[in-house]
Amino acid sequence: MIEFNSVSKVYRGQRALADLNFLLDRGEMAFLTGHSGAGKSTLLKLIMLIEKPSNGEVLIDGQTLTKVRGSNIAKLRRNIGFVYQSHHLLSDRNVFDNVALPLMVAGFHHRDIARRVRAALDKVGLLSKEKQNPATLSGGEQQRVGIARAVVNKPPILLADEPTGNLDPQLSAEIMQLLHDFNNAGVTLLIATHDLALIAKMPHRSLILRQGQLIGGGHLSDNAAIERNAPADLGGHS
Amino acid sequence: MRDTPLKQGATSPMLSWRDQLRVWRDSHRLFAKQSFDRLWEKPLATLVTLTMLAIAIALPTLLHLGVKNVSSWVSYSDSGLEMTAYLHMPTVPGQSITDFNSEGQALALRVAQLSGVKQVEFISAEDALLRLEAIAGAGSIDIIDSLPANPLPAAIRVVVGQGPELASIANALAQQIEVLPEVESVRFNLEWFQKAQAIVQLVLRINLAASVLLGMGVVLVIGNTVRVSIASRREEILVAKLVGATNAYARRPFLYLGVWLGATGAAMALIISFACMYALTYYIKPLEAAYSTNISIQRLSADTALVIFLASAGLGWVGSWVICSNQISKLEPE
Ligand SMILES: Nc1ncnc2c1ncn2[C@@H]1O[C@H](COP(=O)(O)OP(=O)(O)OP(=O)(O)O)[C@@H](O)[C@H]1O
Ligand SMILES: [Mg+2]
Repeated sequence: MIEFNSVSKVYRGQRALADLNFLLDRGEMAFLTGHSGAGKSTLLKLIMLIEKPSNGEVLIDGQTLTKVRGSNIAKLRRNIGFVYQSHHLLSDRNVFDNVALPLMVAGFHHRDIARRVRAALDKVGLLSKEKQNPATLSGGEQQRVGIARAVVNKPPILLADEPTGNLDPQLSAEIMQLLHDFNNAGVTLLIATHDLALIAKMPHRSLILRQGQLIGGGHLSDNAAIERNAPADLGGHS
Repeated sequence: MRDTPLKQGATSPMLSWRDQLRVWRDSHRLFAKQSFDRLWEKPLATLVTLTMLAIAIALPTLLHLGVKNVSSWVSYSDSGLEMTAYLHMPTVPGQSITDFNSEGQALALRVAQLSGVKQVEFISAEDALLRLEAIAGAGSIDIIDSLPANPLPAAIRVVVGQGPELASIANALAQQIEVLPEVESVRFNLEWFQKAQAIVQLVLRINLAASVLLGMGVVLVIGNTVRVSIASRREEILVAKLVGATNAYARRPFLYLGVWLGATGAAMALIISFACMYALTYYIKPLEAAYSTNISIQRLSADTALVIFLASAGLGWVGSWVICSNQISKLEPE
């Protein structure tokens, strides 16, 4: 589903990613971890076509991203849900309208929009708050609205950049469980996080970055099942 | 390369073309309404902008009206030089007025065939009297009525088409018409026409230059307003792009903003123009009474008003598009 082939990214002389190779299968869930500045956000941005690789190629579902241009970039982004640490909710509209945004830009009919938005809000347990302004919600609730927005158009891929960064352990566990549920429903998930304790509790592969290099997790890409049963030397499971 | 990079159909709606059209229309309606509502979020700034636009649009409109009115008061017509051929009074004994008039009509048709003639009109003696009454006003009706017979001759109004050799054509034509047996005399005022024409042309040219400059002003003012609006909605544009908005989608509310500004500015300018015309009528009334005459005021025609309205909305769209096309695509999430 997501494939990196010898991908490097250099920001004005500053190397962020070096010669990355990995493959994430359809329906797989993986963590992306590493020290601050290791290149986690950069990696996700390459998938979202926010940045372009300096070298190598990123493929999604067999399609090379460097060849995607113009309005196809927008269309590709509709297939990828993105959850941020700072949720990026718009404060000039209510929760419902925030979650509806991806459907509006994709040209859904308003009756489908209402149905899908309510379904997404229901899934994150915020159906009762659809009329509220996101600024009046707690941090955990805002994060869940962000997740609802990311999944509202049922994208096959969900990326999250430190989705639990600002939350206490209890809330973090809830958010992770929520993301895990989406994976159970068949969504391919890649979650960048510092929260090693949380990762340790979940039976998923971890891609470990150090100074832009993949030092663990990548080589097992061909068969995620092996990783799950292997010893926890790479922080891959509990 | 495939158009849709992933196989799942869930992320894009599966709609019939009818529904797609409906969605497209609904989204435009929503953007139009949203943009209009946002105009009034900062009412003072919007009013200042709209006043600038209204003045810029009203100035050439009023100048246009001025030219139109002055031209009509001095009975100058842009279509060409007017020539009047006065006919002999009916002399054939026993000839009815109807017969005389139909002969006049026939003569007018013959005159129309002459080279250089653009338009002819037969004015019967009765019509001439009616026109005189209209011009001279109510006070004169008694005097006219007291006359034993209509003193006015029938005439043929000839419009000589515009051209580089108007003077020689007009003179030749006058000679040709004057020798016709039915015609008593031909009158025209070439010198006056040429002077009037020169002045009108000059004013029209000044107005054209002013319109172009002020039109550019409209584009710039609207462009700047749109630029400020884009800057203040940066976050919204970035988030929309992250969830898959195309540049075209992100541009839409700002294009509507430009159109609204242009259209509202034009509406205000038209109101100002109508108010000015109304005031003019108000001041002319006493003059009319004093001279017991009808001064006809040329108003802004509905066609012209519509053109001004649409052109201003169009300029708003252009101003907004120029700014959007480089600002919106520059705004990319990072
Ligand atoms: N836009 C940019 N311009 C220049 N350098 C950048 C840019 N974005 C990231 N970098 C650099 O690239 C490297 C990787 O950054 P990245 O944001 O991917 O790290 P990260 O793993 O997400 O860190 P954190 O855990 O702190 O979020 C860092 O050294 C950073 O300084
Ligand atoms: Mg980061």
